[in-house]
Amino acid sequence: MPWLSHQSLRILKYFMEHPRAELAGAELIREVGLLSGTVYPILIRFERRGLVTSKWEESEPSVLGRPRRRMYRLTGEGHRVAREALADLRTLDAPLPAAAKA
Amino acid sequence: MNLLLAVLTGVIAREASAWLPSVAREVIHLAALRFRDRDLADRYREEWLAAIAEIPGPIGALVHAVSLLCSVRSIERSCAAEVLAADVEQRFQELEGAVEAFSTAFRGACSDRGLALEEIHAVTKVSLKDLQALQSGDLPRISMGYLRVFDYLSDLPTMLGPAMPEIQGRYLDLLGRPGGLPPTPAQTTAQRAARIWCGLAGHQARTYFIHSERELPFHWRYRRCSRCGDVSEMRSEPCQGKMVRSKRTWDSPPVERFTCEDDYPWAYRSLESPDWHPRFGRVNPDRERSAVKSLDNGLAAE
Repeated sequence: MPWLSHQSLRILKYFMEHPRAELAGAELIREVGLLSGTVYPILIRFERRGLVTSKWEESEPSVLGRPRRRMYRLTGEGHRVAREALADLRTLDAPLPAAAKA
Repeated sequence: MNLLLAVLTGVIAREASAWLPSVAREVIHLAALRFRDRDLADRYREEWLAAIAEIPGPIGALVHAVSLLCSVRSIERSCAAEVLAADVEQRFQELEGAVEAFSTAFRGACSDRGLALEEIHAVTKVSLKDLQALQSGDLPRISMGYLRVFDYLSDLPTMLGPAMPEIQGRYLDLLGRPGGLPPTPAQTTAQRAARIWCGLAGHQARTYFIHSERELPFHWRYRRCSRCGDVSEMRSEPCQGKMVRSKRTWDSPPVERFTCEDDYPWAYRSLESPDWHPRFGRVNPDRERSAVKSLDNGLAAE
């Protein structure tokens, strides 16, 4: 996955840890610890590639007493890509055979 | 003196805490205004207002809002790269489909209402040759190109029945719609610095075109500032140009170009107003649609 940056991987990892959850952008910013200016471009890129889907909260703003949040959720394709990318990362992280022998 | 300072500090702090949330909201509105795509602007305005509402402190909310303001261009660049990769050719196909749908509807409406082309010609004063081309969907044959279709559509609803305004609406949606941003390479430091100058004095813009290889009667047009590298949103337009190939000279190979590009002889215009700035240059599709509706109603009343 050459197009996945370190920040993208962190977001994917958080999604993988909460695979069924619907996450708001603000929540991702808080939990992943990235700047909002980084998270939203990544989210829209993921959405365009079909890795996540998003939808508005179902309740009306008048009922909620605040503007509606946009909720993001990992798709099946996103799950597959995330699993592969994180597996690649673990392979890279593993010690080299020579180093393991030593 | 110390007491006065303490009182003043308290008053200022209270005032600031009262005002900062609304300043943060204004920054979000400003950030949304910076999007050149209306749909993105509407979406992020609501999403970000909800995001800053969740942040507990007013200073944190303001910092968050400013960070979002800075991320607008990055989001647009992310979208632009996706749009241009495959979408331009697909959008050309959509326009082609719309042309076919129009000529089919035109033929159907003529036969349902028993209208001959001569009758339409007598009322609308559109030449028979043009009407025949319109009926057959052969748009390059229509004199003055695709642009004339709008004239036909505004004249024809009263003659061709209630289906025409709907078709006309579909056309306006397809032809007038924005096509995202063209390819936007990462800005250099010099270009980023020049952005301040462009904000004050306007862009120094050059017009660029994207044509289909199949010589369709449409093209996409956008502008790029040679100083700061900022680009305007692409729009599809009727194209009356023909592809011509310049002769090889001693120092340059033959170059293919479209004659419609000759309509922009002054490619570089210094001190051009930043008319793709959302405050100045945004086309409001709702307003366009309501203008068309009022025109149709006026024609129907006549």
